[in-house]
Amino acid sequence: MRSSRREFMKWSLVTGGAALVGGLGNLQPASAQSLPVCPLLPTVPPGLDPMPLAEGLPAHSPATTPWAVPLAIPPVLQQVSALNPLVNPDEHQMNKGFGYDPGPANELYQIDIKPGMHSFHPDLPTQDVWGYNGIVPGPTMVSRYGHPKIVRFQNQLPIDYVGFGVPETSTHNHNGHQESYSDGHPTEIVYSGQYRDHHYPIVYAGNDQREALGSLWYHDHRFDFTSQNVYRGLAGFHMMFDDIDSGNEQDPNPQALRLPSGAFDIPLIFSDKAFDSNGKLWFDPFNFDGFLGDKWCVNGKIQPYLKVARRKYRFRLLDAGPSRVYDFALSNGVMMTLIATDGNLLPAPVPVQAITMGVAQRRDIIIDFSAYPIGTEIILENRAEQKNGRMQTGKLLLPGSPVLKFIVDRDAVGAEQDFSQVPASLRAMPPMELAAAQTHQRTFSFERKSGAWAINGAFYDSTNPGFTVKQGQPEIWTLKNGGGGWVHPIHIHLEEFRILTRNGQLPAPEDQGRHDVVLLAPGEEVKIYIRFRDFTGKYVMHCHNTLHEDHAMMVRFDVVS
Amino acid sequence: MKRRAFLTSMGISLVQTVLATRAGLAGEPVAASSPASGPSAGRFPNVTLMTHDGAQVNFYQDLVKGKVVLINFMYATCTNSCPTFTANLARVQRLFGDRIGRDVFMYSISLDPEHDTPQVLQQYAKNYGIQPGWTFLTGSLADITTLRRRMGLRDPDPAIDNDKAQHIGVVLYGNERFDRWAACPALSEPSEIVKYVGWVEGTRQVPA
Repeated sequence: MRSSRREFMKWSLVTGGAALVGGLGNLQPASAQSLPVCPLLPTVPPGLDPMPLAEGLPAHSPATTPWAVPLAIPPVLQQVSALNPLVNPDEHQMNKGFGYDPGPANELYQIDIKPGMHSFHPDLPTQDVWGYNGIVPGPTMVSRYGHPKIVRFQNQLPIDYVGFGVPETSTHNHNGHQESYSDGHPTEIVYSGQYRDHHYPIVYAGNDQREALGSLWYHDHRFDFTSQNVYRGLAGFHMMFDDIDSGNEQDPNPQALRLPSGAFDIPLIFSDKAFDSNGKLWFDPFNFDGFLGDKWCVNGKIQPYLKVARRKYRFRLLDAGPSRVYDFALSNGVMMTLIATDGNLLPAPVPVQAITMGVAQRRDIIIDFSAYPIGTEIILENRAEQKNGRMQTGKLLLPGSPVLKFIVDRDAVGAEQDFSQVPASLRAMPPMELAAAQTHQRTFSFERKSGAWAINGAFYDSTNPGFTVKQGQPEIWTLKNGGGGWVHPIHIHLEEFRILTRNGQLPAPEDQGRHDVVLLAPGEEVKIYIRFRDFTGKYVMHCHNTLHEDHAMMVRFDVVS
Repeated sequence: MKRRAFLTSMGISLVQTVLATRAGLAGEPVAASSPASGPSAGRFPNVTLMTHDGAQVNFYQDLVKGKVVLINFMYATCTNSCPTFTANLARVQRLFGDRIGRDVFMYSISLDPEHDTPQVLQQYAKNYGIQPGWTFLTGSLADITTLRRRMGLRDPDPAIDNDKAQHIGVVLYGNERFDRWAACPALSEPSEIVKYVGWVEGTRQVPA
């Protein structure tokens, strides 16, 4: 392993520049000169990890051999032919899929929330986790615009379970445009033995195709226990497609983008975890600042590898928490092509050296392996040094902590032939009605208060809305980090927003997309444009550092007609 | 006599603290390996404390093990926020009624143990009309520091860490039988806090 890495470093220094222009040149012709950045990075001995101790854990988690296990790709959730008892249409706000309109009927799905046995790594014992359908991560939901669905979430967790977590759930389809009843509201709890049907109409916000969503995730949102339940395994990915982002790289439709698709479109769910001396998953329920693990998990496996063909891949990165901020880069210093932020395609691809991600943020990237000889190994590294759950130290580690290894092991031939492309323009942005928004401004300050976390001085109150918003009214919100020592990834339910300014400055290109999470650095102030169109009811805004969220940095807001 | 017993216990617990400190932030090794331990033994130091009635208790073994509990930190001379927290928790106690001391136990631990003797705490409890089942606790400063830091009331900045006023706004609640723990602001609505405790009791499949 060491020798192949050395070989690779040598190779990339000698040939990196020319080969990469060939490989990525068609993606960003305008910025080709900025592509082949191959700084002379020091090599890291395999397995050495500068990650600090998980705060509060008596010792480091037991040693695990890196790259011992392949990346697991979660199975796609399959439809069921019927749900028994029958779905009750009266529970739902939007008629779509219930036979009242000419469109397709609801696709039916069932997810059982239950314990399962899971192996994080061959060096650790197989152990019980909680999973959607008993697996970690849960099965990947796949949706297509125009095809509404009902997902029945059935809580089968044991009420007398001993260990962190609470066997009571509320499942949130993160960034889904859905009614309040199906939103996984923090206090709309499904108890063990109960189920709840969530209706996902899979419609564009405002019926505007420019509002399409692509990379979502679903996770538990049970108030006060979100951090514990998600950490125990209750998270899964959700991909959405339409005729532009169609999931078919040979799509004859001239509108179709033909991005890397199928087996070459892979969700990467990052979560850092800690294990006790017996190798069992460990969590500190008495940590209110943010929890760090000292093991890098990708799709539920510790430091996995992925064998790749010499072609383009789409990776959908998700920081699934609990608290960590990542700064991802490739070990060979080569740029990645950012195509979507928080699951929403950008107007044009943006070449990036590194990707900073706070909890719940998603970033879709293209990596082109076609220029690399077979045998090449590239490591996805986290360069952000972080020593406690509050925020990064600010120091960039070179090399970073090794998280995931790509091994180029074959040519892309036959069924793997690369028909994909990364067009220079992706999806147009919807217009903003800024003039109408100017007169509806609000300010929210996210602050520490008496050892817990507050928004505008108030703790989460499930029974009373902190404010109400008129349906359809464009607004401008100012989100302020009121403290000096913390970052807050702020998430707003129902519809995503646009960043107008960050600290008074226009946002960087990668900040100019549609977002449902914005990371507020200490003292930062971000102005956003937001509008809620299709549903009324109660929703929440909260910090997605799940320890802050659980300790009351959340506000209920009601959308009213 | 009570005072002497208290000082003796402080001496013993100082030794325990030194040993625990040497073992790092580890859970009390004795408690963790003892067959009499419950599922949360590793999470709580089993330090020796004194109640406001003057009784000597081992924190984990006597107060937490096998119980549903609410735990917060306070100090008697606090004129800033403690009074509102204590008053709010007194409303929580009233809502629970006679379940406090039977199904649910409340503990308030002094962050100023050198001043807050059992007698001071007894007077404090009396001033707030605290009913039986809610115990105020004191001990050695070292033990209490260990206790509060293990229970999340800590700060990487030593100045803030030593500032009593920074820590007192959180109530821990949990059920030791299930190792099920969470926390909420001490100023949460009393009826909400009662509801939260119901979440960890795990006595019902679906809400009544």
